[in-house]
Amino acid sequence: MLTPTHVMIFSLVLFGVGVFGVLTRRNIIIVLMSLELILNAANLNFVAFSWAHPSIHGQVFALFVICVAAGEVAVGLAILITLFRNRNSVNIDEFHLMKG
Amino acid sequence: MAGFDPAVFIENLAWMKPELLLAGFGLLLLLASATVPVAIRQVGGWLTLAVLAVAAFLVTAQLSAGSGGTVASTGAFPDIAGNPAFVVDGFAVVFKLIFLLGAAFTVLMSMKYPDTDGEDSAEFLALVVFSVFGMMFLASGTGLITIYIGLETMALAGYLLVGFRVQEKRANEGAVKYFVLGALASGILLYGISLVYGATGSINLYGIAASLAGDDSGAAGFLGLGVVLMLVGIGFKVAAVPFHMWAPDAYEGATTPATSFLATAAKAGAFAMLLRVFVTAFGDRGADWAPLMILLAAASMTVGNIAALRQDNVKRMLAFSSVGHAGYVLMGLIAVGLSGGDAAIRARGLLSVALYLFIYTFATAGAFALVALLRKNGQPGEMLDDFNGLVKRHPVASVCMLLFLLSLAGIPCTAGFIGKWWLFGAAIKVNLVWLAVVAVLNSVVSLYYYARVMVAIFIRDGDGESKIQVPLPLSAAIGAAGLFTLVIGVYPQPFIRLARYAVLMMGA
Repeated sequence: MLTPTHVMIFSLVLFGVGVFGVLTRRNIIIVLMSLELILNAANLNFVAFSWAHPSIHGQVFALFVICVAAGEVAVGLAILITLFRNRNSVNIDEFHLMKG
Repeated sequence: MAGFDPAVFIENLAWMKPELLLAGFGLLLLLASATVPVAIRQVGGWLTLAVLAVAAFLVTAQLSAGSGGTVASTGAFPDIAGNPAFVVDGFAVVFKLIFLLGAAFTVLMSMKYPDTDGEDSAEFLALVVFSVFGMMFLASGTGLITIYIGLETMALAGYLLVGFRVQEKRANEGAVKYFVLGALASGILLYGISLVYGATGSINLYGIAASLAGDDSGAAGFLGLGVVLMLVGIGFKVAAVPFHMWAPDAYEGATTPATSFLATAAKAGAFAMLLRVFVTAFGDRGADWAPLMILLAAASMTVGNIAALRQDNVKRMLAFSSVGHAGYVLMGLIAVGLSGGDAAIRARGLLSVALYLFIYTFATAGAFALVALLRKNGQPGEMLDDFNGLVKRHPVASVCMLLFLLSLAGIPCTAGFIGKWWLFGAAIKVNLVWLAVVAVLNSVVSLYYYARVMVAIFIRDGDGESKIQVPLPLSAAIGAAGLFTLVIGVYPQPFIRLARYAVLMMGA
């Protein structure tokens, strides 16, 4: 039987995978994917808590987050494309023009 | 659960006049950038300034619309549980004025070099306007959905402003770093919000406060972790150590007007969110979160100022200095957290944060205006050596720069001294004398790297002795910033009166 607790545990794992991916992956595309995982982990949490309480607020919040995530990835890819045009790379290790 | 009443909705909408004005104008700018000929577009900057001024007027009018100007008026958009999700109170009004001020300086600076980077283009102005629009929702929002959407609106426009020079490799790089860490911060903040929702069953600051006042057993673990994650997320946005890594690269990569915007308006926006969330929702638990803030504040001051010592790039130096200033400002919030219900200390904390952000906006925007001034023929003038012998090339601007740097260091007779006096005093009021001592020592350290710029301007000889022609918008920015820095330093009372409105937070 699936309970809100199971969903919360899954969401915590997803959040961990996302943060780990952002911090360790060198390819920015995969970093963007990890960022999406974090947002979706939060969404799962919202829905799970909405189910556990029960209240509608969490589901409403999740809908808003889905919209914002779409906007965020659009901006992220736009920035990434300008970078790729100038540098021909999406490897984060190669970007160190500025130091200190 | 209240039903939807169109009449009430329109009545409530009247409280959003400044925001609606900015949103409409931003859309118009985007439309103009695609259709209006280049020659006419040159007036875009002045038009934007006019709209920002009208928005400031509308914001100020909200202050006196209520009860004769003594108590801030409040408008409230109820969410589905009946709690207000958008309020107009003294706190929101003061912070909105700070955002508009920072944006106005940015627009003035952006009108300097139309031919090189296209910063005068309607897209650039539209992004500034949209970002300010988002910040206004941060200052007024009391529902976490409203706050989150406001934050993302501010941040997404900010990422694009940093990466605006698409041909410039440093801009690309700064924008990617800013985006990845900024989005990570938003994600962590959001996860924290979801845990707080789980613990309290509400996504409204007032609902959360009411739930916390009811009982303090229950899901304490969720709540603690959620609050910490929210603090981490907002810590990124205010660039507090250890979450400041993006700031130097984003500041250096961005065009100077955009850098100034990040350092003034965007920082004030993040502080507005920090204050609103922690004072309204978790105000009763101040003693629990204040120790974390003390760590952030002490680390930000020390690391920021020490890292700034060895920077030869003035923009990067100012970036680290702004990290240090975030540490100073946090002291005001700590005083609020530790006030323990003492209204006088709470008021002093809120007042000093608002006052300091005003003062810091003038000095920082002025300093960045000088950096923008030194740029010519597409060559950035951001290195320390570019300031050599500036006093012979433009004496008035040099004296203004001296004022800005002294104000940032907190020397008496400049505005910065007044700001630090109030902030450090707030820390002493809650018996954090050691933190105030750390802050004073850090101010001494900061004087060293500010003095490096002064030495370059007034003592070193430059190679080119030609006078600098200052365009009108830029001289207006430098002049206004210099004037206010001096006036607040010797006659601060009107500004203290204005900042006192920030104490009026609805329902807290």
